[in-house]
Amino acid sequence: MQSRVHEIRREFDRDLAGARDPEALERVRARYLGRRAGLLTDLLRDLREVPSAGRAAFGKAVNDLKAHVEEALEAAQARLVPGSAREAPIDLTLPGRVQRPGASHPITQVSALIEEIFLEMGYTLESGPEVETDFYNFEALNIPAHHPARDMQDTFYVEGGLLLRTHTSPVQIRTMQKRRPPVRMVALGRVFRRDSDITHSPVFHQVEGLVVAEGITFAHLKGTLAHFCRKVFGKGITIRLRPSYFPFVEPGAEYDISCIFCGGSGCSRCKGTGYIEMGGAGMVHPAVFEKVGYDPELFTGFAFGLGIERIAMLKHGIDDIRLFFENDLRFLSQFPG
Amino acid sequence: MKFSHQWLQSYVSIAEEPARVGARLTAAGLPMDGIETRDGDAVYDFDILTNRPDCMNHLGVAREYAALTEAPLRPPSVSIPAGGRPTREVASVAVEAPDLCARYAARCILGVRVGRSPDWLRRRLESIGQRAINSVVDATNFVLWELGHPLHPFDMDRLVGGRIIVRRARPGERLTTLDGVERTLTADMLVIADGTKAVALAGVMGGAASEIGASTTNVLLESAWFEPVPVRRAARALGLHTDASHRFERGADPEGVLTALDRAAQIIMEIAGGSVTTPALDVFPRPLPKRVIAVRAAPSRRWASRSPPAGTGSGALECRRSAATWSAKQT
Repeated sequence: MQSRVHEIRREFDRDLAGARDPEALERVRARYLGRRAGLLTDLLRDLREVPSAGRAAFGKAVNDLKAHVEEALEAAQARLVPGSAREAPIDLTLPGRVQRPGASHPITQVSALIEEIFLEMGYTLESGPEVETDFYNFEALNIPAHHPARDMQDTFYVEGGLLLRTHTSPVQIRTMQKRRPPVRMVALGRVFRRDSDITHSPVFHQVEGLVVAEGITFAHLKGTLAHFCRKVFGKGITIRLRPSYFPFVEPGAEYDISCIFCGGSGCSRCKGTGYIEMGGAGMVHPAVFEKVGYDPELFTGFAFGLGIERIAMLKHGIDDIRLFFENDLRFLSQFPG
Repeated sequence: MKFSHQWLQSYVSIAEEPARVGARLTAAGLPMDGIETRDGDAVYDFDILTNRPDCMNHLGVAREYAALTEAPLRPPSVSIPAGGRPTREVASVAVEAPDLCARYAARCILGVRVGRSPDWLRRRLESIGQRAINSVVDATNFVLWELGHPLHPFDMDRLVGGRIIVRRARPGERLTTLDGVERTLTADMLVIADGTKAVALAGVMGGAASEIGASTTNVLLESAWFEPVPVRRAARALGLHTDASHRFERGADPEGVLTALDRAAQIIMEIAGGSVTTPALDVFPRPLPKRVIAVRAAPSRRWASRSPPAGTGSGALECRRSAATWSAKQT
């Protein structure tokens, strides 16, 4: 029987050498591997007639031959059939490619949450251009000409005296120019600063809120911020306002939340203070109202801002802001939303 | 910015624990970043925002505390003995760029012996992380951290003709600053020059050539008011951020010029000897109008949902004015 194997091998080599086109090659394939009358197929069928003593050796010889035939046919195929040369062999036993469901980016998820909270309270959603003029980004916000925020070091200036907005506050101005009070708006969007380290990215996202009407007080501001922070971080959160300075509000404040890691008893995340900084806020400066033609004697308003990355970092315990912008699926896939 | 509890106590009585002081000032707009204990003294780290240059010194923070607690403020008493040699006999001041320098005052202290400062002065400076250098330099630094007005002492014998000329730098003019770096200046920078050359970068840093050293015997003390924006531009352009530029950029008190000058002269005389010239030279080419800020109760009533108790606002202002009157600044 072994000699039969050798014989078929010689015959095959001869036949294959004689095959000069794809059709001839196909005929060789059928002669040896054909299902019904293929010589190798027959040989395998004969296997059961072989006495058990020699069966293993014979089986191995047949399989070796089969491997040789398949390999040689494939090589010939690559040679004779144009275009098939570089194609990897298709392994039909591999598992299929799964279409994995996508998810929103963590920043998009937090943005959606913030939008929802304010839409629920009757705010409108506003937006403005990312490339701004000096007027909207600085002047109308009562930021004087020599204010450090205007430095080349902090702001990306582009051609034609334009700049990439450094905060979402210009949207306040654009909205007030379009509308008479009462105004109740939030704006979310990208902002740009020349700053890059573990907690600063040259591109990041902010939320801006503005409420203007007759009789708006600091108490409204405080209540709004407390409600917002509790919606985001949970019912037990308390807020604290500290006097601060931003040219477009007076009085101005920074607001903190009770530490979400230790509950306010003091830990390394809040540097022992029991509070975590959230953002800036205040009562709209009368000079800002004058720029947009609102009567500061008639209307009062509050404004606030905060960084969206900051909220996402606190919510998910992320300590490097740059992770949001690297688009590494190992990071992003942890936020199935 | 570091503040010493003991130092603050020389201007106002503080009965509270340091932690309580920090919380009180934080709630009043001087956010505290931290507090540490050093040699039995509490050292506060306050984040003084750009709108409060008046609080970038111990007396300013003490003034806030006094207003909050209605405790009396005790500013240092400043007096210069009369009958000294007239300053104009030994020095002269000319301001050629009044748009950049609204006021320049100077006094000389003649015959000083520069040496190590007494322990009380070294302790004050070291408590807030400043290095003691020598008696004259330490006295001016002390006044900077006490009153907030930056001063500069020159070795007068290094100033050609004892002259001070406040002018724009010549394009490409060179000056080696106190940090030993030779700087190339541009025409929009303001310098202090003597009869021949630039000797200091106005409001930013002095020059190495006229530095006070062990051999200094005559000191010319500068107290000036420089326009904020050009100081900031010059400091930025040269990558030099100093305690002086930090304050001038944010606005020093033009009415505090003479008080600071006299206070430093007084301390120098006390610890390094010498005699103070009098009266001071005070070149004030561009009087800065006093700003009247009308404080109205109505807007704050509208912002707060309720009225503060009657007299709260005026009371707080009066507490601060006791100091404001002293520095002749109208609040």
